[in-house]
Amino acid sequence: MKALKISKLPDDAIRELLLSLFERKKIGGVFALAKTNTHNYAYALITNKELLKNITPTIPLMPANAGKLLSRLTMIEPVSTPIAVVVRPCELRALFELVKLEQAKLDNLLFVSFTCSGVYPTRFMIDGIENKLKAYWENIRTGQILQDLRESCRICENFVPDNADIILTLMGKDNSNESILLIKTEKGKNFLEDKSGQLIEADLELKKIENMRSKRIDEKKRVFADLKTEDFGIKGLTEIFGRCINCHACSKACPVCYCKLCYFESSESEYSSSTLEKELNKRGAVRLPTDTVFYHVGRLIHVGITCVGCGMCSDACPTSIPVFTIFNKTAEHVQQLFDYIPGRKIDEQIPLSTFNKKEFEEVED
Amino acid sequence: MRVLLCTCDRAIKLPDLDVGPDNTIEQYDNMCKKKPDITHDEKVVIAGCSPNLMETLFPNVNAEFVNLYEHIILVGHPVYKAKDLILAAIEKMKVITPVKPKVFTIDNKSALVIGGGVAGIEVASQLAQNSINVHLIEKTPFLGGMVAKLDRLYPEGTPYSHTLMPHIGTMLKNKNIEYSFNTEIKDIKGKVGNYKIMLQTRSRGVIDCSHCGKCIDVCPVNVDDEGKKRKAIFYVPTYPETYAIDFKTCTKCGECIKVCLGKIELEEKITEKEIRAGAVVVATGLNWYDVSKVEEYGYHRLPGVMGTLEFERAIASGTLKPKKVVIIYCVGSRDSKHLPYCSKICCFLGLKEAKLVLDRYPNTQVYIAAMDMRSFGTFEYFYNTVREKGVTFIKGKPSEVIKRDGKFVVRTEDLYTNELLEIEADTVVLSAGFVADNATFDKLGIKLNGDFPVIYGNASLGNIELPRGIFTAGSATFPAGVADTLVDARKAAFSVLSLFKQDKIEAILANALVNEDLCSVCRMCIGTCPYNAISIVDDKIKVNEELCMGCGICSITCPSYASQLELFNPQGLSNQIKALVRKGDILALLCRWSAYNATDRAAYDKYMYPENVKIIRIPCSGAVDPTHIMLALISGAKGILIGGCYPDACHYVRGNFLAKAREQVLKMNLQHLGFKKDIVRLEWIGKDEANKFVEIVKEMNK
Repeated sequence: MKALKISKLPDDAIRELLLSLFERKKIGGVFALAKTNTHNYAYALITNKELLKNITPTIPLMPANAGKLLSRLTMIEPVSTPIAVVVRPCELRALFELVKLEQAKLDNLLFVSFTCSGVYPTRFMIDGIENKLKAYWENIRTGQILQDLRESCRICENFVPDNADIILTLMGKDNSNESILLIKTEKGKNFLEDKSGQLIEADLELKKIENMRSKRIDEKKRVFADLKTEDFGIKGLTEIFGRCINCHACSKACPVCYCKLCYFESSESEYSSSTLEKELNKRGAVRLPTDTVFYHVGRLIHVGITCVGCGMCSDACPTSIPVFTIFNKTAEHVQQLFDYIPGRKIDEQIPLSTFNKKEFEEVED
Repeated sequence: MRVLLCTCDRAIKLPDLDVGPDNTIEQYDNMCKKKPDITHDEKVVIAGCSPNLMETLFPNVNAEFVNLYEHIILVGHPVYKAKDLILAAIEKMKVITPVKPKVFTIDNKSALVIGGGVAGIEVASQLAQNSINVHLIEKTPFLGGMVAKLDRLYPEGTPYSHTLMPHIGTMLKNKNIEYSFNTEIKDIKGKVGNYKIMLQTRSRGVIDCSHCGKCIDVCPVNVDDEGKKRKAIFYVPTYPETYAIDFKTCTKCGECIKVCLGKIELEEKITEKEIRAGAVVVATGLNWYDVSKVEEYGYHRLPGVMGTLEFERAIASGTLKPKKVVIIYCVGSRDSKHLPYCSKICCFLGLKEAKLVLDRYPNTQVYIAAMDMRSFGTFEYFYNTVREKGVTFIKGKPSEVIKRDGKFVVRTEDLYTNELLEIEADTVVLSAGFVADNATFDKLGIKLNGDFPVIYGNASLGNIELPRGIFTAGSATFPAGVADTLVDARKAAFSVLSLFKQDKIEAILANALVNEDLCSVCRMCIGTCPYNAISIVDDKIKVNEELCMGCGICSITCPSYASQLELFNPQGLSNQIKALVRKGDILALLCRWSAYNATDRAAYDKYMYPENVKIIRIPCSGAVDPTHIMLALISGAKGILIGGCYPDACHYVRGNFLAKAREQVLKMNLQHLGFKKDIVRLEWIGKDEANKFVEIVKEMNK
């Protein structure tokens, strides 16, 4: 596949690419992670090219799932000028899933992504992520899994951004000043057509990817085995979700939890005093806040098929409920049932969204 | 809320039932003999015998029925269970909004008929004879539709005009029909009894015509109109008797204007006009399937391979005198790549073509290559007639048509002789199936997904309680011969007349309603609606009241429950489950059309089942939300049974298949959350299968 070789470090290389797209008027804006204060990083939409110096696309943080942010941005209508979007693979998959659910539009977006080595929990921002970077890049070079990364990242198998237009190859990358940007799609080619003279032939770092994938699969087996969800039952569910303070941060952070108003936040889910009284008559005591288990299993059923495994939910939970691990472990089997990887392809229909008999036969036991 | 309790001649006594301060309890000894009055705008809980019976006593009420007789008395279950059932029903009804009666006023008693073929002509004629004002629109410049394109009609073999012209003549005698040609509907608003329709008309070109025909002589543009040669200015001998310009091919040379005794305008004008009607009859007919898509038969690629109509017209006009003809049947039909269905009439059309050519040129060799000959009913005589004329029938589907030494070669197997054949021929006719004319249905909000609107047209499936304002006639719903089309047209006319007999129709019927405040417009509901009743109107989800049958499937497809079925909303059901389920219970959610009836049967036949089986009646197994099942488990249920109709027997087409798929997903989730695999069971239970129901719940109770 054609590729652009830029003799710079990854973030600088992306910056140079975006700057040249800007200067050649191919794009009118950039959506990427940027440094906002001394220690803070956030997604930003940048239209002033002078401010491009602030972007830090590979900083190992995910303060929000960009898929959800881009959905907010494009829900009513697509962006009118081309924007380069630099996001991680799971964010891109979340966005594609949201497009299928009519909650976002892809028009005029150029997707730049990279083979992802994961992010740290967002709270690491407080002490400054900078002191983690050396160890992070060292582990990328050696192909090891860092144990203080987000759990979702340590066990992620879908870390190659198959649906990006331009892919920066980072898996196993050493600290040399050489960055390879693969041009994956026709759209990518069009944006870089006047660079066609400088392009080289390159490919994904397949061997390193496979190596990493097998390590992550092992890690996943270990993590999933550690959390014995299959022993939960009602008792286990009540215990683990009994910690829930009903803040619904997991659903706010979840990219594929797209309802305008969640049923569990609507007046319909409120208990009337007479209902509460009846519950009390029957059981003698009621746990408050009510329905925390119901909320979580309800959400699990709703997002099980479309969960992209980004781990935002666990990251957001103030009482350290392993929401991601529980959800992803059950979702994995459901997704396998339909051979469905959320967000993998834009034209792949979400299972059970339309009826077809074949689907029925597939799941018949 | 009133709680109406029938003690069934004091067979059940609930003296200390506390229904709460907001509710009142009324006891009756025999509700079936002394019927309490219930108004349409109040909510009630009716406890007595089976809802199957109660619903006939109290039609159209906002009620939750508690089955005390069949579920308690006859099966010997204790009184506390009766109380639980009643209190749970109250909890449900508490949050239910009464269904607003749907009032349809038939303000306008004129009809719009779309399509000027034989179906539309017959509908217009019948309605006009019954003093209904009719507006008939036709998208071409002339009446006649498909029939006017043909030479002869099967099985009699009479020219089309023998049938069509008398019908046109009868129609024209009526003064209360307005005709618009070159006209289609642009847009339709309103509902039954009051439609506002915007019509769009393309000008005819010929303004004033004395029917002299001089324009045809001078027009330099030759057009091949499906095998018939004509000019860019032309006439079809039906109605009206005014020539018309085909603006798609006209070069605007102006030769016709020079010789015209009347007036011709060569600029095509488009005009719009709004009309009103109380009913619409769709008689848009059908189109031939595009045979060039069946590439192996070489239509277009091999000049001379013809469609049925081209062949018929070429024979009729004498431009084709074939020596050896092969007619290939089922081109694209009964083929998953093309048309999955049988178009029903093409077998006869093929036989007719064979007879046509043999009537004119008896020495022609005619082969018909067909997988099956479907000449049902009296058409068997027609088949015999054609066979006796010497047509050779080959059982098999030709694999391809090629050209060799200037001749066509049809390669086929013959299943009668088990041979592979190569038939040389000078003419190959492709007898294709038919497709619906989708454009009009789209505008009327009836989605087809590329198929015929069979469900919409099928009177045995429709929602008979709701008045319908859009009717179909003839081949618009499925290919039909002329005789069947005429019968269907009269049926449609009769339906319109029945509607117009009324001034106001009131119906209380549970529909799905969409709460726009909750709706994220993700469109998930659209794909799962069995009736294509949901569509996007002005960027919002809209449920077509006329099409919604009230299954509730959309409601559970929606993650935010924005779409809710009246009298069966998720909040009500979760309240009911919370109030009903005690630790160790088995909750049975049973489809009202099948499994629920089996529990009544169990009571009559004295099949006893454990008292901890609590039954809730639901509209369809497809309307069971996995989250409600989880709620029941959280509430302490030790098992949940969902009872639905057998595959393909679902009252709502495919609710049970959806239920099955969802059950599998839920089971997978449950298994990984530490529940036993069969804690949830979806079972097909027929309405009389009492023993099956009882065996299942007993097994679950172990």
